[in-house]
Amino acid sequence: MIKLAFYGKGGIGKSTTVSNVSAALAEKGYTVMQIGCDPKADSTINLRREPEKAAVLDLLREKNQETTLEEVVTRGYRDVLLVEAGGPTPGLGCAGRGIIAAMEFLDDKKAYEVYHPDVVLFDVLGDVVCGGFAMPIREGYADQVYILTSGEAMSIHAAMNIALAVEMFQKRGYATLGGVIVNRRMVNQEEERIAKLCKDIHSSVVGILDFSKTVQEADDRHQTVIEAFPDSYAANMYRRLAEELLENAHD
Amino acid sequence: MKKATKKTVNEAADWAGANSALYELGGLVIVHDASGCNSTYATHDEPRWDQIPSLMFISALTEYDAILGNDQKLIDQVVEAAEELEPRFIALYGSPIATVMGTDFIGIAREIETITGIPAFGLKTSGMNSYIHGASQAYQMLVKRFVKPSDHHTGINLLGVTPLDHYGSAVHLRRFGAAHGMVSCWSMGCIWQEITDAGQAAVNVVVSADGLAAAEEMEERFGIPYCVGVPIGTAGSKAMSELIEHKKGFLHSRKPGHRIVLIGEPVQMHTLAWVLEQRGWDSFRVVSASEQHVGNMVQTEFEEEIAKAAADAEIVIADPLLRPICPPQARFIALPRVAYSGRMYLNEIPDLVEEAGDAWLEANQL
Repeated sequence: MIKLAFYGKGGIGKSTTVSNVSAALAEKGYTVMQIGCDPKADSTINLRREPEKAAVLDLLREKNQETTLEEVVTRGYRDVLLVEAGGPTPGLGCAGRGIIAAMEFLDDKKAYEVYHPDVVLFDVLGDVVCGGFAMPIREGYADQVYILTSGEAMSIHAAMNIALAVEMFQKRGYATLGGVIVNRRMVNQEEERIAKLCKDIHSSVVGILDFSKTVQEADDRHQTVIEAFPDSYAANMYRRLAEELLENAHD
Repeated sequence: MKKATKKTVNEAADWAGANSALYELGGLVIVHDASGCNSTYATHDEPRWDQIPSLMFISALTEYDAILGNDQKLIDQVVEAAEELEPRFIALYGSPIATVMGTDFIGIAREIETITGIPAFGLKTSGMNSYIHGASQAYQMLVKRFVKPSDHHTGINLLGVTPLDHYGSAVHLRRFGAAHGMVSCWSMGCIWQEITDAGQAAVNVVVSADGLAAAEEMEERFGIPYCVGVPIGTAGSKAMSELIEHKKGFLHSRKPGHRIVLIGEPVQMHTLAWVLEQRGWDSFRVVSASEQHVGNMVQTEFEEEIAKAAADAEIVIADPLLRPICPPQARFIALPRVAYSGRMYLNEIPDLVEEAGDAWLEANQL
């Protein structure tokens, strides 16, 4: 089983990218599970088919340990298994601790043994801002971390922070840094900035995603480009990225 | 308020169960919690505290450590203590505060092991589960990390002998074990080599739910089968000897009902029901807070639910501190447990093994 976590500055396109990678892998016949680790519970919108299911934490709030796996796992486009961790009531509780609770719930209920996914993708909110958001890279969860970034200064800054956190946790046997995925925003000296980032964090670019209106159009339909525009350049871009991630994982 | 405790008390928590399991084994045990909370364990749950030295510490977690995630302070302190004390192993686990912080004890233990070279492990305790949950994890971890496989199997391991459940019977249980070629007794009166040699046993004898996970782990890893029950009274002792010979089985009554309600640790209570059945009684209900279901039992830790389960009983066998919620018309037979009333009735905790058990049963007209 391959387990990958995706981090990056808020709004950089993590959910869009992860959903398209899920769709591309499912298209190739893999059983994929996508786990949204964001209190907003919006990671899997573009893959959903069935009526929306409650997030793990919503159910834990209502039913506590009586919550079942079937209540939180839904099947989406090409049977991608979809889970949303969810979060506390806005303004209350602790979102990071919520992620830990949701991940532990999946573990306790043996989600990976029950559904046997070939690939698990953790789509994690933004930066590693607290212990809770490091949960998907703890031992037994993701094996590799991918950082999404553009050449924008704030995005590079977040990428640096994430890489530092990943490096710091190596002593604890956490996930390793798999590489950088560039979501181009066509800012000045974008390539040079990314190259410097990679040098600073001792990593490399594993995929480049060009800015695409097709992706936006698919987003508007709440679909991935793989589904909405399967023959498009953008769809092939995500297919290439998915292949690259698989190869990296097998290395 | 249905889950509030108004007339009774709480059972020992998971981290106290883990402490109890590891107490005599020469490891450095760190409970990540605010200073002062160890007094609950030392003064209530651990009768060995003033008799046998042990390397058990509380990390003295502060508010800012919690807010700022100051794991490094904990790691530095544990490393320093380990270098000074040279323990056999290092165990780290948490309290409710560490749980709310989401401290990763498994990752921290890995880091400490890398620095010190001493085997270190983390357990998932939260202070919100029963002691059985903590003791089970501790014993299972000992199997995973320290028990050596063996090509030759003979004798038995007694699994689940802690003062929390077997304070009055521990010495006698060891004697029963010795008569069956005991390899190890987990873990009152246990020396470290017993733990590492436990893979040599031919059968595991689970005498409390604390030992079930370890028995399952040893069955999976080393192919050692297990049986479940306690040699209570001469009848129970004889029956356990037969289970040991057959290398399987679970002593429990097959006459469910609500006439006799037994509240406590489930392996002990099921065995007691079986023994009572042999003595002509019937209609038994076992009630336990153990998250690990053992046989047919009512699983609850809540006062109202315990009271409901015992409402129609003619006889209730339970810790004396449960008396206020038991029906007044029922005959109440006190069976104190350290896991429930701590040291309050320490001298009244009976030895239930073999003839001593018969004497207790007869004294209570059972």
